[in-house]
Parts: sequence; structure tokens; C-alpha cells
Amino acid sequence: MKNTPDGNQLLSALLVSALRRSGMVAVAATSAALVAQPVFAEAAPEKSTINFKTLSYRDYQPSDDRINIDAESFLIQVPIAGQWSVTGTAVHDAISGASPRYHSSSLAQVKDTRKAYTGAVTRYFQQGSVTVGTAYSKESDYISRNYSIQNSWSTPSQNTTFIVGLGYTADQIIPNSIFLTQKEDKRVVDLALGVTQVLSQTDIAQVTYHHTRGRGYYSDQYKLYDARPDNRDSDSVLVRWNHHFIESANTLHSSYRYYTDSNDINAHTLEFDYVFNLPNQWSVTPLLRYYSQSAASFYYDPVANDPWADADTFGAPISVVYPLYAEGRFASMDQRLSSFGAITYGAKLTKHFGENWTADVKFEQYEQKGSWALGNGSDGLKDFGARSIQFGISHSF
Amino acid sequence: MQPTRLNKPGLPLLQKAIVLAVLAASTSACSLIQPVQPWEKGTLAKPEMIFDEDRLDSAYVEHTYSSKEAAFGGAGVGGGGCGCN
Repeated sequence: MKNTPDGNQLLSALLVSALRRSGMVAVAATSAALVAQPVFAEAAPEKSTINFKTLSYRDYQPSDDRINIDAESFLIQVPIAGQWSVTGTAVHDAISGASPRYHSSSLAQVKDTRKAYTGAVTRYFQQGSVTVGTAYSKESDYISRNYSIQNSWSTPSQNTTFIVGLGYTADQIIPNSIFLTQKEDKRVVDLALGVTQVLSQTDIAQVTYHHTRGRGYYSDQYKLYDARPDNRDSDSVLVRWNHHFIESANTLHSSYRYYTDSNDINAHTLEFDYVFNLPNQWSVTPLLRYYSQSAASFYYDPVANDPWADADTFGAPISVVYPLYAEGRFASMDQRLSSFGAITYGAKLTKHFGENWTADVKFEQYEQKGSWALGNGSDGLKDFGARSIQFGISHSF
Repeated sequence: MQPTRLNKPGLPLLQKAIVLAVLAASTSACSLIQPVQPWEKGTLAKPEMIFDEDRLDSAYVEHTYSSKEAAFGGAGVGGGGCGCN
């Protein structure tokens, strides 16, 4: 862009002021970073990009608010010497609200902040790229460190791209409840194998297989009598397909993910969004997502009247779960390990200002019910919902 | 505390076979696809045709879903964990 119109100067001032407020300018300048690397080979970016986004998130169940998250995140990607790029992200979350001690009952107040930084350096070659990345996340009760390397290469036609990624995550869980008395660790190794294929002039598809192998503390220290296996292995296959409609200039994004893990949870995720291109560089993208999971093998449903339950544990199957817990066997009453289905709908509104500025706002509504699961859903849990809104601004230069 | 129940060693063989078959099918299908020439890739280069084009959006979405659902990941390595799940 040769000249910077006044509108762009205003956006620039807004962006810088927002970054100063969030205290992220210094962090972003000193830390290289990435969010999960996109699984395709590409040439080195021609321009630098900065992106700032806020998230306001609230989840709830009937008559009770659960968790609120206010987050700000920043991304910078800078090309270097035509063959390299450096990417950095910084995220700050403020978490507050209430979390259930079992199922959807006995809400306990929580308040925390999370700071997370990621960094990555990519070297581009004639037919591919190599990315080395790291990530660090800190909450008062949880610290996570991640290291990853990813290699992608294309066929001479550039129509097929293969990707191999390896990651290692070392997490530390810090005691903050009566159920955890010492620091615990968790180690996860993950492998991603992907193929991206150009199908036609208007179609591109991608298949990714992702395996994770985790060892360490997987229980939830805040949940009542929660004891989970000290390993979790997972496998997932994600298939994505983007199709562009020439006549309308709109684009359909479709994806399906199958997930299975060693806790006996199988999950299906189906997602669609459709980019309507509107006049004057506006676009609107409605989205729809369906998710279903089966329950973990050691998950126990709520019961109406348990002989061992008292006023503090009303509705919990204490006479079943407590003996298992006391004997060192596995048990959990965590709603997230139950069998349920969930639907998300929403829309994103995007406005481009010339070639180099973009602003967007995205709204999402999420509803979760046991009866929406494929197969038998878990009984006795309260419905659960969430609502989020994002504001984003992006500039390339 | 020492859990006494034996942990299951990963995936059953059948599920691993399905995963490999999907990958193999996706790569062998490539030979059936008409190659697209470099000068025919204008549409494919549009931002909306790129997977995870808005990475901060993807990161928020992944983060909030993994805090309330058991399944996670799929798109690639990197990013690290959090105490929310």
C-alpha cells in the first residue's frame, strides 16, 4: 500500500493502545512464538503480520453461572531474509467464577490468571519447510512447557504436501486443594502426520493423524474423589476440505474429526462454516458444529438417593465412588468425562480495509446435553452452555 | 496413591488399522486427481482457502473446547497444555 489513509492510522493507534493496556508489547517483541502450526507447506511470507484479539467467554448451567474468561492475545510473524520467518504469540487470560466439585453440583469459587507464550522459527526451502517451536503457559496451579519440530515437504507440482510433527510437553501440577499434597508431573509426547492435497482449482483437502502418549498425573485435584489412570494415549484423525464457489465467490469449510483414547472415550466432531463474500470487502461466516463423546470407563453417573451421600454430596454415587477411591482404583464424577452431545452455532463478521488491515468480530453459542450424544448419553447432569465473543484486528506490512 | 487397575495399552489393533487405511487411501487417491498447474492456483491462494487462516481465533476455540470436552488436538503439534482440562 503506497499511502496510509486516515482510517488506517486510526486502526493503528487503536491497536497500539490496546497492546499497551494488555502489557504485551514487550513480551511480543522478545519472544518468538506460534500457535499450533498450520499443517501445510508454504513459501516464506512476503509481509510481516501483527494480530490482536480479545475473547470474552462465559459458561453456565440452568440458574448458575460457571466460568468467565476474559482473554487478550497477540501474534506477530516476521519474515527474515526471504527464507526464514519468526512467529510469536502472547496470551493473557483472567479466569473467574465457579467450578463444580462433582457432576454439575457443589459449585466452588475459582479465580486465576494464565499467561502463555509461544515461539517458532521456520526455515523455508524450495519444496518445504522446517519449524522449531516452543510454548510456555503458567497458572497458579499449573505450568506447561512444550517443544515441537515440524517438517513439511511438497511434490514438485506443489499439489501434495506431507507433514511430520513431533512434540514434547512437560507439565507441572501444583497442589492447591486437600486432594493433592505434593507437586505432580505430566509428560506428553505427540506425533502428527498429515497430507494436504490440491483436488482441483477450487478444492483443497487435508488428512491429519495425531497421536499423543501421556504419562503422569491426570486426576483433577479440585474434584471430589477423582482418581484417573496415570497414562492417557489418544489417537485422532482430522479430515478437512475447503471448497470455493467461483460464481458466488463464497467458500465452504468442512471438517470431521474422530478421536479415541485409552480412557475409552470416543468422540466425533463435525463442523461447517460458509464464507459469504459481501460488497465493500465485508464477509460474514456462519458456522455450525456438532460434537459427541462417549463416557470414560471410570466415569460414574449421578444417582437420586445414595445411602452414603450427605447434604454436601447430594446426588453423588458416594457408596460406589468412595470405596474405589480409597482402594486406589479409578473413579471420576467429572461432567467432561460423561457421555454427551454438543452443538455450537455462530457467525464471524470480517471487514478488510484495503489489502493490509482486517477487523473481525465473532459470536459463538454452545449447548451441551447428555441426550444429544450419539448412542447412550449420561443421565442426571444439568444442561451446560457457553457463549463467547471475539474482537480481532490484523495488520500486515 | 497407586492405582491397581491395569491400564489399557493404547488403541485396539482394529482402530489402528482404520487410521492407517484412511491415511493410505488419502495418499493413493492422489493419483486419481487431475494435477492443477501453478498458474491455475489463484483461487487456492485466497486467504479463505487456507486452513487455520486466523490462528488466534483457532487457538481460542481449541482452548475453550478442550476445557469442556474430552477430545482435543488433531490439527498438529505445538501449543502446549493448560490446567483447564
